[in-house]
Amino acid sequence: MVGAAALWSSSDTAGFGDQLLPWLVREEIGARLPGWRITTLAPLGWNASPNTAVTDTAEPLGPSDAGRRHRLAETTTFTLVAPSFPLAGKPGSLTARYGDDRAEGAAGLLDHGLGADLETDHPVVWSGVRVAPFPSEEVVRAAARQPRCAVRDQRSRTRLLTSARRLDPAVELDPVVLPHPGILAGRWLDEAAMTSLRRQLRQLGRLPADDGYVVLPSAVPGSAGPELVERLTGRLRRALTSAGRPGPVPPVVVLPTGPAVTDAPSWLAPTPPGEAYRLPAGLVVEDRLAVLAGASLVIAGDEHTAAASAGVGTPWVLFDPEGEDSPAIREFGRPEQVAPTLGGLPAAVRAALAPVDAPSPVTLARRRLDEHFDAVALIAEETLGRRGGHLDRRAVELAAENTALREANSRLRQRVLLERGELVEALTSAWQETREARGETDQVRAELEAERAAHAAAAAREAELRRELEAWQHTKLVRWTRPLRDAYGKVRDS
Amino acid sequence: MNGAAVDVPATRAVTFVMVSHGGGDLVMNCLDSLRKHTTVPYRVVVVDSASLDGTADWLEERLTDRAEVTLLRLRENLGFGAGCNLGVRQADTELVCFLNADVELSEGWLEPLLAVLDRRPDVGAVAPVLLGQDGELQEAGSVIGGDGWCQAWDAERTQLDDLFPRVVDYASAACLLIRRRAFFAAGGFSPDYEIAYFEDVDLALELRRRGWLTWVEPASRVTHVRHGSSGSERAAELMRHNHGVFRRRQAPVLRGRPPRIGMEEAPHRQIQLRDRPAPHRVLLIDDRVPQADRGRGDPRTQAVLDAWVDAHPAGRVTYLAAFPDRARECAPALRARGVEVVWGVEDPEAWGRERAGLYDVIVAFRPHNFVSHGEPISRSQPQAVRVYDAEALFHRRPQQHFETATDSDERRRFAVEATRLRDQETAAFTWADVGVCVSEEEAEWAASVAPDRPIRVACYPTPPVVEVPGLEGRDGLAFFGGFDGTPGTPNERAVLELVGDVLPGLRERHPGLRLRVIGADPSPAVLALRGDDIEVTGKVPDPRPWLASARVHVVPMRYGAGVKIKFVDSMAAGLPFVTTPVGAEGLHLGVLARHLVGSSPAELVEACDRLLADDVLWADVQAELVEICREHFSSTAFDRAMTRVIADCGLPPRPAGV
Repeated sequence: MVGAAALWSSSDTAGFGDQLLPWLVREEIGARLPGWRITTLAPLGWNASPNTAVTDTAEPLGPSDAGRRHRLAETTTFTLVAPSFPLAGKPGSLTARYGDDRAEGAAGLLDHGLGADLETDHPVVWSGVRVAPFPSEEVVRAAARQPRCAVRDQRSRTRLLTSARRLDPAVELDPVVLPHPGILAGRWLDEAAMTSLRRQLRQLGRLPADDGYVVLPSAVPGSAGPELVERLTGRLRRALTSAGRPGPVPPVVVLPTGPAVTDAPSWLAPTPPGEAYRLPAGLVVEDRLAVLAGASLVIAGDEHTAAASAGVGTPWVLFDPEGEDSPAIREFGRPEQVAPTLGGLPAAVRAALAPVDAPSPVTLARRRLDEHFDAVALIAEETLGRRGGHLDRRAVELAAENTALREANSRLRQRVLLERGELVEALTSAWQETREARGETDQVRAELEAERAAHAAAAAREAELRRELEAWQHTKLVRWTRPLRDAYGKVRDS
Repeated sequence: MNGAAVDVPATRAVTFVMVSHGGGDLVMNCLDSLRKHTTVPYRVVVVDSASLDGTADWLEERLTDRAEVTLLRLRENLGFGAGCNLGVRQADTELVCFLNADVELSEGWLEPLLAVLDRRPDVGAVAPVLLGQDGELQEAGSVIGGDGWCQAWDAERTQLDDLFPRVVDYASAACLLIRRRAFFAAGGFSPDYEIAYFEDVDLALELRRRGWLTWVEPASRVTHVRHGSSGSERAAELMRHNHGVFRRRQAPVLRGRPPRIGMEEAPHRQIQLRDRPAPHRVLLIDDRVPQADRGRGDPRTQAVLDAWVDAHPAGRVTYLAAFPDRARECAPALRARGVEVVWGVEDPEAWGRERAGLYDVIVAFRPHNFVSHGEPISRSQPQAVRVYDAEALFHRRPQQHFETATDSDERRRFAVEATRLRDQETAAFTWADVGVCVSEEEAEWAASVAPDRPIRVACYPTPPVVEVPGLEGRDGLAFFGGFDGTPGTPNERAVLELVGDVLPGLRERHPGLRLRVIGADPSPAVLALRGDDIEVTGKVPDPRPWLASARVHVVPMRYGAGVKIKFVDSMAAGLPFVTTPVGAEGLHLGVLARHLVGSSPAELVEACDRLLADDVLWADVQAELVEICREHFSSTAFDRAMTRVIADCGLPPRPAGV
């Protein structure tokens, strides 16, 4: 029996974080649980308006009634929760976000899990979520039930703990603070693919001719549109100069990262010279990562872009006027990389471009993420074992697979040795034959040389005799007696 | 989204991407064809790559009433790859299908391709078979030579009916269904290429580098009219240019491959290139294409074949049937599972030379196939690990006849036959690197003639025994076994002994005891047994109901080798049996043998009588037999044994998640 994981996310919307989080969690969990089926679910799932950012269609989470909870618990072994938006939002927040009241039903599942009765056999694990202010008792209890509860900023942890203490001091809750998984992005999309994707975007006129551009957000909370880009661009020269990089400002690329796909430039709209390159909304994760990887600096408008930039090794700054995303970036970056105002941009750019002492915060953060995903995989394996005694079986299967692999390798090795032995024997025989043949050849060659010498001597002797004969034939005796000898010959023949 | 309202998961919706450069009428035809033959929700993105003949305008006028089609107009002709790259970015589905306008679709073309992607998470892209307008095979995937030139696997290389689903080096993007996430993970169509040619070849290799396979599914067939201008000077120039780019980009992949140029003169290179993407290549040789509805070792051969097929879903398994019996009828089921099926090979050595150096493993079943095919073919496959699967030791049967025959001529004939077969089997086990037998007893003999080879025991898998019917509703005796319609077979002898020597004694104690003789092709002597108390059923579609309704299965076998599968089936059906020591061989009966095995007719009568009369004993025996079946003849036990055989051949076990 193979295990099955459910991944509850917001992958039915086009935001960078909505796509990036499930994309990464899926890869990390898939690598740790080979053979497991991973199903992605989201509030509207395939009922959401189709959008080009989605490459993995999610199943709708559906309403959080008892029947649905039972079905969800039965069809998979465990559940990971990783939406980009904060859990425990106000009533109606999913309706507002999706523009569809069917999404609201999912709030009960996302916030409260499957319920205490079902979660004894089917753990629900928050894998780096954010929590809105004042989480309810149900949210706190859902968090407390989890074998591993991971939030992606200290503030979410504090909110949970504060609510827990206020509601019931007996609740045992110790959420882990996890860095944004976006910092692992470079693991799952290689440099060659990113280069190719960038060149395609360039061919379509969506990127400047060369790498080294600066990426700006198309929107930040409270500010969007051309004014934002203009204001940020206006500050760039001073910021770069203050960071020790005077000279012309590199070309600017505007990367939409929010869930909105309307009012975005079309793929085929030309970019007037000197203006910012505006990428269309609804780009897939891979395209966005490729764009970030080609930049010399990213001014991120959200935590996801900042984390992904860190993941692909591009210096980044978080422009966060409302301070909403700053707590999350402290888990993998330095607080100085946050610009709360436009005026703070030069300092933040300076911090982003300054040399980093090893080990960098990102290196340490990646280690924490690996520990988290290892722990989640262990929970999954243990649950599978508990649900049907299959953990032992899985261990037996792995041991058998390992034995078979070792056996196959050993046989292959023996065969290689055998074939090597046969090859060497064949080579040795061939060498011996070659040596013998060479000996024979040498002997024949010597004989040939001797024959040639004898032949040359005979030829020389023959030439000498010929010359002697010729000389004799030219003597007076022979010449003068020829008429007489001819006449004698005729008489004798007649 | 367009398409008929059918009950399919929304994840199966498809976006078709077409790139046009002229040929607007072809695009419209293709759109009509799509509308007619596509049963899943779909959208179409047509990217016009700056057609010079006004195609874009022409299309725009005609596409106004087609909501499912989006037309994008490039300002300059960036070529096929760039057009597709743009089209995929406009798609909003998991799956994208690249489609040339000169492809004509037909009913049911898409479903087999979707099924491959549903079933196989490791397949990133899947293509149908392309046919020419004359119905002739144009391409079933292509091979890539070491010189960077490619060759379609076409009518010159194979027959349409011989095709089977398989992993390929690449398949033309004229019609290619691909996972969008695989496409982006591989970096899409490389912009290194000019306008057209080689970008799809490159994409397949980039997919492969990241663990995604490209597959061809012959159950899907489309017609590729080829209206392109591939013969023009410009096309030749583009091809030359892109070939250079391809060689440069993919040099590490091309290294070590035989060249495409000159491939026709060296058939073994063609096959080597065809099977290069497969992780391993295995050749199995047995009498005939396994027939699901017959015994005589076919179910076991099928089980062994299944184990090799399951060893890796992309592995190449070739099954060579020495005899053509019902091959045409039975081969399609094997081909559908990705097995190459071959029969009618008149000169096995020459056939082997055409595939010189190809196989990693050669498995020969039964001594005559080893002599006629296994050994001659292996001469051109010095690299292959050789497996001899005995199925049963054939020399034992004439030896048993020799021991019981009374006529001196017959004894001499059996002695000669036994010696001939023993010599062949000795040669087979010493030829092999790995030996396989069906019982410990036969493995012991094999180990004595080939002491330096691993000899494994892999018998026969039965479906999991969950619950077997108890005594209620059971009555009478059953005899189960085929007769070949000829006199003198071991089963005929056994049933005649049962009726002549055993049944009378039993009837004295159990008057009116009925016997049912179940088995295909009863001989005249067997048919003559029919009477009030003896029913001869002939062939039955499924013997299990018959086995589930009898109380005791009796087969006094005097001649036979290996494990008699009829008794394994009997165990699986919870039906106690009575037989001779020959019949009981390899069944792991242990102490149970004292209740089930007898040598003389009198002993057989006693054993049957006990099982007919003693309900408690019958129930205990049934429970024990079911346990033996679970332990030794389950699919788990068989899989374990075959995993060892496969490991002996140096092949790894099936990877998890594939």
